[in-house]
Amino acid sequence: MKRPTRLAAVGVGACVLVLAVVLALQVDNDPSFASGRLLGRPAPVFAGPDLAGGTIDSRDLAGKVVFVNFWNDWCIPCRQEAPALQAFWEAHRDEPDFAMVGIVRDVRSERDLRDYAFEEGVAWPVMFDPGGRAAVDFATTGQPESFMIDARGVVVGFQSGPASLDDLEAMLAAARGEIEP
Amino acid sequence: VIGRLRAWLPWAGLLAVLAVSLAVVVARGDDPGPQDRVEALARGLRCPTCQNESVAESRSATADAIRADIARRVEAGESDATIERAYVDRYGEWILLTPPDRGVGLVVWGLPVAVLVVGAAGLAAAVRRGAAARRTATPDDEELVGGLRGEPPG
Repeated sequence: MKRPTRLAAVGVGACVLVLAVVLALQVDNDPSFASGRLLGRPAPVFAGPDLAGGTIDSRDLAGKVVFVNFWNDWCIPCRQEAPALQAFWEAHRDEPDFAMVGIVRDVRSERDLRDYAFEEGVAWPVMFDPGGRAAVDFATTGQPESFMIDARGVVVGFQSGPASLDDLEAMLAAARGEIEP
Repeated sequence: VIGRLRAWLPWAGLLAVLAVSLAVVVARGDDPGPQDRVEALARGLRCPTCQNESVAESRSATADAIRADIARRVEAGESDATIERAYVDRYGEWILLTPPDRGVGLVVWGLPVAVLVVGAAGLAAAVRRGAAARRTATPDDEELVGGLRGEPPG
């Protein structure tokens, strides 16, 4: 190989190597990890009207373990996750130190949402997020996304995408200090 | 004198246009209104639920929410740097559409410059080598040219 050709090959190889390193270093900047940045930090305060006609304010839930799930009725993965949420709610709804809030984001039709909630038996408190403020404060990048907040108000669990019942129970146990998060 | 003035007239016109443009840019840059600041900040942030769209461009509900949040923060008196930092803190540097000029971001800024410098140096070396090669004629060249000119060999 002639010298200029060899030099050009080395140059191109060096550029490819540098770009590969840069891309490798950017892996943890993937947006799906964004909400995980809240782990270990105080949970954002959220408040808004609920599906039952009242209001929900996170400050009223202080001292409890709070499970927050961002969802909506037109999101297929949210529908896939619904049975696990239902089972989780049924298992813990009567525990005094536990609260669960579904926050609906990007609502297209409130009527469709109400119909879905009624038909699927969504019995846990559901809060509307007018203006999308809670979705932005929690740095969500889509739905479903779930957060487990411990009794001190610190985010100790995060799940992007549909969670299984085992995922939810593990997050709750970690929030109660029963297992390492 | 009139001929010399006429020759300078286009240059004077160009200078005047440049001066006015600069004055307009400086005057606008001095005191951007709150809406200008919201727009500028939104242009610099990636919409988290979109495919490579800025918050300013996107019509998604999340982008609307972020624009409203930026407007709230601007109204509350937060500086542009503080608002940008709040979003980096929340989403990571991924949220910035312009890579930061530090850390890994330096590579993005530096690599094209390095490629340009190396390319220019290579081009300069090639041109110089070509020029040097042109200056030296071999005895065979001399003989060939001499033959064509009808000069006797040797």
